Amino acid sequence: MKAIRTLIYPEAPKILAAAIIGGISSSMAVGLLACSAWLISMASLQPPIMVLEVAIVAVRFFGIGRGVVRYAARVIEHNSALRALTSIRVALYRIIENQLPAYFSLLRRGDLLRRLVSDSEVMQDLWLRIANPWVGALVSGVAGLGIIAYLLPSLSLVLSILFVVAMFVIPFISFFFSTNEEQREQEQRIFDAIVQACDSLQESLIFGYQNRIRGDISAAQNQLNKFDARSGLASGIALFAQHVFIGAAIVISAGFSVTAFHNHSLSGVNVAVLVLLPLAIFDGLTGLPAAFARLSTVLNSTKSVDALLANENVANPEALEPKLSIASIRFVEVQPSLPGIEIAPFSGLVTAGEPLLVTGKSGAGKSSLLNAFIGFLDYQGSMTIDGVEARELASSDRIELATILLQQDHLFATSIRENLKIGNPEASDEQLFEVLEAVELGELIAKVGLDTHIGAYGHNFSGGEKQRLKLARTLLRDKPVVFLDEPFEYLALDQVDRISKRVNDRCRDKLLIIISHLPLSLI
Amino acid sequence: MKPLDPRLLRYSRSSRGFVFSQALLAVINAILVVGQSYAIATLACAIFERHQGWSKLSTNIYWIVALFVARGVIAFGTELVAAKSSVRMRNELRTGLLDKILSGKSRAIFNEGPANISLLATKGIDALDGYFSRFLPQLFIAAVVPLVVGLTIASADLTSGIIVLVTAPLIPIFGILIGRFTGAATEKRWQTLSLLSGYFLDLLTGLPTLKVFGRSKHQEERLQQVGDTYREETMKVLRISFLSSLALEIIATLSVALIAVSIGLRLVGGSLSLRTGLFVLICSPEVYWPIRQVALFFHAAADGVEAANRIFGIMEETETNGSVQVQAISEIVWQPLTVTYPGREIVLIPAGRLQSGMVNSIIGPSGAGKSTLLSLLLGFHSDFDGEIHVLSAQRSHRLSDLEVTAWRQQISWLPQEVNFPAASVAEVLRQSDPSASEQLLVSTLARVGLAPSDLPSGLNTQLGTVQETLSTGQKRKIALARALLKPAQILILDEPSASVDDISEDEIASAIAEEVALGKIVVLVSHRANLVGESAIIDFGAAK
Repeated sequence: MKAIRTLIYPEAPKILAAAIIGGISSSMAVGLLACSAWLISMASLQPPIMVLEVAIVAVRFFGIGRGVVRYAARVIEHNSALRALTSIRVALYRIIENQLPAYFSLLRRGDLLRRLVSDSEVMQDLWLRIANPWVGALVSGVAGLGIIAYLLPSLSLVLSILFVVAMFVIPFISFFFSTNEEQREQEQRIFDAIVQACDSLQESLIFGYQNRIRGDISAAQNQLNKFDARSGLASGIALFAQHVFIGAAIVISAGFSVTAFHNHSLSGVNVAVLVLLPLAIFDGLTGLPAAFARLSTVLNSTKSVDALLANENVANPEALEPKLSIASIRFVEVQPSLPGIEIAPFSGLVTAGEPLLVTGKSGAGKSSLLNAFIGFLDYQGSMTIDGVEARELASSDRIELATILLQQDHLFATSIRENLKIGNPEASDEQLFEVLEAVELGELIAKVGLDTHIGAYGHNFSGGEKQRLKLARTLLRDKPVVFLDEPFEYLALDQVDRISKRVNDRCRDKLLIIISHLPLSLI
Repeated sequence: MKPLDPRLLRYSRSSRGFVFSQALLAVINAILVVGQSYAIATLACAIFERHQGWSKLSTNIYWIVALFVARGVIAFGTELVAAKSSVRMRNELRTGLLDKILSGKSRAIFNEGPANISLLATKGIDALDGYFSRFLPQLFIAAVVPLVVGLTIASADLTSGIIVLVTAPLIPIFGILIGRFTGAATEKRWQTLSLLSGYFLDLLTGLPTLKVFGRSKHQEERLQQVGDTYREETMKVLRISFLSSLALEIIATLSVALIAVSIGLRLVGGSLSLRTGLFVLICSPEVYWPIRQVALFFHAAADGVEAANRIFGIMEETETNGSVQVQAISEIVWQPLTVTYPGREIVLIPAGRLQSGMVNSIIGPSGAGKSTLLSLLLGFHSDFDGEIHVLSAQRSHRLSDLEVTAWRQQISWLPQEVNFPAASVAEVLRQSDPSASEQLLVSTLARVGLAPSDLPSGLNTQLGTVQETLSTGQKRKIALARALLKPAQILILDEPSASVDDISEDEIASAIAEEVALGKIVVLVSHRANLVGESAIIDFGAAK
């Protein structure tokens, strides 16, 4: 349960504090019922009104206090929950950031990543939606049993046993009958099929895949219908059990009260108090069926986050001094190791002023070479940087030597300026525009402005424009090695000629490696 | 926002039975609540006032046991029916939505984009569970129980009945007022939460980029800051909404206290029996509690209600669709067109003509609107000014008058970004030509420079799954083979040589020439000069 320890444990105390305050609020509801019952029983004896005054004040106090304390509990609870959400995200980010090579394959699939994010968010429910209601029920139950212990100790003993049994039996029932593994898999299958259907919708319409997709989804749905009653069964049985527990408690209370009343160990005005209190004591259990029906979902999410965190703890070698210049990089029979795929060995040499062009058939493993260079993939053969074997250097150090354009480079959902500044945080607007001119975006960006948001809420850039923005960002970073993976995708041939010449000119004194399927004339 | 949307009854058949059974269960529940209160009050009085021994209480005890078991059974039934119906209703809505999506005739779906729609059909519909299995059952209880209990109280003790009559409506009235007041703020909160989630996902997706730029450590701090800022803003909104539910709770509590004190005073005066007093005391919270609970669940169900509104919006959308079917298409012509996307710049498309038996090239700088023209031709976008005319058998038809499904059957297409359904290579290819032999599949792949041995499991290689390991170039080649296999009159190729190596480019060019020779209308968007060669040209650059 590493996930619980590292991700959600730190915020637990505050959330549990909120649960206890919530329990105090419920305890006031217990007090309210006890006072009202006493008040009415006492009143029926027609005593002087002064005797009732205290009880009337207590009824008002509990009535208003309950709401006010509940308000405080909710504010604390939600504040800590939001805090926990942020700390989960930060912790998760830290882990993935440290272990990027291990998560590389994960990052290639957007839906896996999305699942990880939502799983980690579900985990906080362990405190908020499961532990909290239970602790709250416990606190108010103890308060009610305390009053009973004061009035009739023997009864409190019996009811305590009943209460403790209920506190475990009801959660167990709802946990036991709730969503199981198979059901979750079916739900996931439907989700995956729908996402796939939406992503490939346009192609489906042209090539007629609709029936196939519809068939897949309705098959999964029919499977799911088998489980439809299950979740209701869980909370249904648990709620039934709760009513039976209350009924039993009232009958037991009545039995003890009669005996105690007849042998004068209990005053008559307290009979109604004892008969009614079980209603309030067991009322706190109402939320438990829904809470514990969620437990298996939360545990499952925890398990999958755990699985992802399992390959943590790769030692981080010490950082080297950053190098300002490199004379050469030599590739000898380099074969990146990609599971299930045989990649042809690659050899080549790059020096300043002598760019290296990596070409080859689609699927030949050109991009894998870059991933091997920056340490996202292992490799066989030899790849030496100024005579030092690359695998002797930490991934982070190799990255520090180079400015890189990845094929799966990402433009962030923020302004153009912010995106470009990832390349060089200190760059002035003049510098930004100088590079933008080089990739022939100067005119367009001058028109829409550097603060334009990228993506759904801003200018919609075409594929070629996005590609050139990414290239500009890479060129803004000043490093001895420039490693570009398919930099000229979606560009017109004459434009490729112009831009590649400019790139080559800018990188005269650097080591320039370009992966491309296009015939480029760089020299 | 209506608590019970009538459109639900229209789009989900199960919902009718659900509504009826929930209403019935709510009535039985109300009767049991009253009976239970009466039995408990009687029991307490029998012990306290009449000093009855255990033996004489047995009838009373049996009643209490029976009533609690009955209430348990009803609670069990309510939960079971609600959960079962929730699954059914969500399935029905999901199926309805998917049918609408897959019909390919909804404009909203192309406008909103696949990511939003799939989110709606998965998470959105799931969020309806809270609405179906929690909120709606509680709504029926809130409509029935307070009424039945209130009437019973009034018949037992008129004074308490009048207090209930005056105070109970305050809760929904205040609830609605507060809801109006805080509604916008609550909506903002949901937006904030999803924005934050999106920000985190964006950050993780771009992590390799941040890593290669050495900027990844820096983001940790920023993530914390953004989280804190959002938390403070959200808490401001939440405090308002918690205060409002505190107000409702205090109204409920004060009302009960008012009843309790009035009972107490009249008991002292001797004008009320203890049994009636206790009975009313036990009953009275049941008037206020369910109404308050509805307000509580309403917030929890807000997500689902929002999703339902959007789903119904899409389902209600009228399909603009022609009925004309055409067979042999010889030409497609149009005068300049203007296309508007909501919230984006207007796209101008120059006049053009697509002819059969030749390559029709669409050229121009990136971002000029080439892809927009293709989506008009493919019927994915229909909001434009102007007319596209389709010439068939000496007659001219407007594109908007054509039946869109039949029209799409006439088109084969290589998209710029390929997204396969989950199927094997052979299955994907056979979708274009169901009768194609394995030999034909292999030879078509060979036309685009791909051999089955290049793929991990040959023709059985799975596409569109998590395990998919093909390169972008390989996927595009398969998509091109699929486009060539479909016996369609119009062949649209969007950047056929992008991500494809030099060796294959010549093969692609000759494959295109073969299609032209068959008399097809070949439409080509490409930057590569050697592919364009001799062809009719529509130049987007010239229009500017």
